[in-house]
Amino acid sequence: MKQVMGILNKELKIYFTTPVAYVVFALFTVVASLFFWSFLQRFQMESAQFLRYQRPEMLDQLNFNDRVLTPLYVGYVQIIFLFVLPLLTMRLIAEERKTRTMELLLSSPVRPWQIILGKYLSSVVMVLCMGAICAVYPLLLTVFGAGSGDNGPLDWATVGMGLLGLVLVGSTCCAVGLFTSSITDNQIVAAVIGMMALLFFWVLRGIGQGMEGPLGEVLSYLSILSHIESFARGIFNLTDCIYFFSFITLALFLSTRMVESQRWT
Amino acid sequence: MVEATSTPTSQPPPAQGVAGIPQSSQVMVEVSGLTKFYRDVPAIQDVSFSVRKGEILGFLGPNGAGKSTTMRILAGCIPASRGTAKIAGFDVFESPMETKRRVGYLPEIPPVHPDLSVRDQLIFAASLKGITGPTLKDEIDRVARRAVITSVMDRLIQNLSKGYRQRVGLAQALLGDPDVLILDEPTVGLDPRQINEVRELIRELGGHHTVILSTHILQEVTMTCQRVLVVAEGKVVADDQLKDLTAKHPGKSLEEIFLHLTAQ
Repeated sequence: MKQVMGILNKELKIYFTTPVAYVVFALFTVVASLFFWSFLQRFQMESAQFLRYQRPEMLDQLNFNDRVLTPLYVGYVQIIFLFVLPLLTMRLIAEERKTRTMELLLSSPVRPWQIILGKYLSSVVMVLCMGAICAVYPLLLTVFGAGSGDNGPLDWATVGMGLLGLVLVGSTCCAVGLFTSSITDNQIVAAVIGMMALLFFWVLRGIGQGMEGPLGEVLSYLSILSHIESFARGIFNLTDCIYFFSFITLALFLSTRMVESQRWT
Repeated sequence: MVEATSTPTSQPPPAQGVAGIPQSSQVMVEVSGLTKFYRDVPAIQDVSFSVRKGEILGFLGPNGAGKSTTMRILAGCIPASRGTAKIAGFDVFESPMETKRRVGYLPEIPPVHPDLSVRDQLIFAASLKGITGPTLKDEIDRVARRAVITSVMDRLIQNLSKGYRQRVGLAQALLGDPDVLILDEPTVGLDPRQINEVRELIRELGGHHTVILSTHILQEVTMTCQRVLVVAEGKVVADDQLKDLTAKHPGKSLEEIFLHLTAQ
């Protein structure tokens, strides 16, 4: 475990001594906040309309959870992840290979899975930071009186589930990005393949739904999209959690094999 | 000619200083029939040698002779195609954790991260060797003093000269006081004063540590090693005590012997 912590620490130091972490967090905040702001605008417009047409029953259904936070967490932020996280993880192994610093890891008494786990956890920490940035929005809503008006208080359980879904999807993106970083020594190639792979798992549901029979069902089950809906509704669904964990485990296992293969061939 | 600075004065060879060190007969490194193919091209063929505890072995050969390949196999970075390599009785392929714990390796390009400070780099390398907690600081101070990098500890490695990077790599290899040190061209990129310091350091390390050092600089061998292994085109062409080697080729300088051996 010492080794895993050592690698985790080193990766975090590199993220935070180089501009990488700051640039990514700044861009992430700007884009996510733009989405948040536009959802909020739409929300206000809708409530104004319902008021004007005197439709109180519609007004009752309008709440911040469903109209603002959920589409943000389980939808738009994940699209940002799709593109940003492969950029964060692309250097993890590809760069070490390119600059030959991998030789330190390979000649030290460290097992390949420890290398992979340490590096993976560093990217998960970055995802958790972005999750924390996203947690600011419901706090803002509360501070500026979201709970006090006609719209009812925020349902924090739903908020929490949305954030959990966001972190799980982010962690999955990182695992895929780490794997693509382990198959090449070119960072750009790693990032592009990572984005393509993630995009593939996103659109798989669309493909699966267009097909008849069990193959279509399997394909749409494999899609990441099929497993985030429960989080959007604020329901804890164990099956979906298992899906994400097995996805992550498989990607990390394959990355470990890639690192090992360097030792054997 | 960097080496010229140290030639005349240091010619009364280190053999004296070295002969005084008691040598154990325990074999630390044992290589037999080691062969490595990169695709179809053999990098080394049937390399066999052994190094006793406390010995300093000079690995001499022209560029591309297979020095680095042999060292990378010993360090456990790449596997051999054929043959075995053992460190302290453990096979590098069968029980890599055991051998890696006993080896400090400085590759050709020092594996240091430009974005880290020297201290952070050493903390990282120490953690890989399982050194943490209260002993960590002392150990880092010790290797930093040995490699003479105490003045640059808080600078980023990207701002250091090549010589300093090389010495950070050396300090890193010394972490945990390994039994065997494998140094791949440790003096490349250093200025004459630093070269002398590093050679001095390597000489001091012998006796306690087993050192395998590769170089294509002949002076380095005469100054630091007792025994020399000459490789050319992936094969061992000479394996002798330095004084025996010169005795076998009377009247020839080491350079002439080297050219003669590697020309075959």
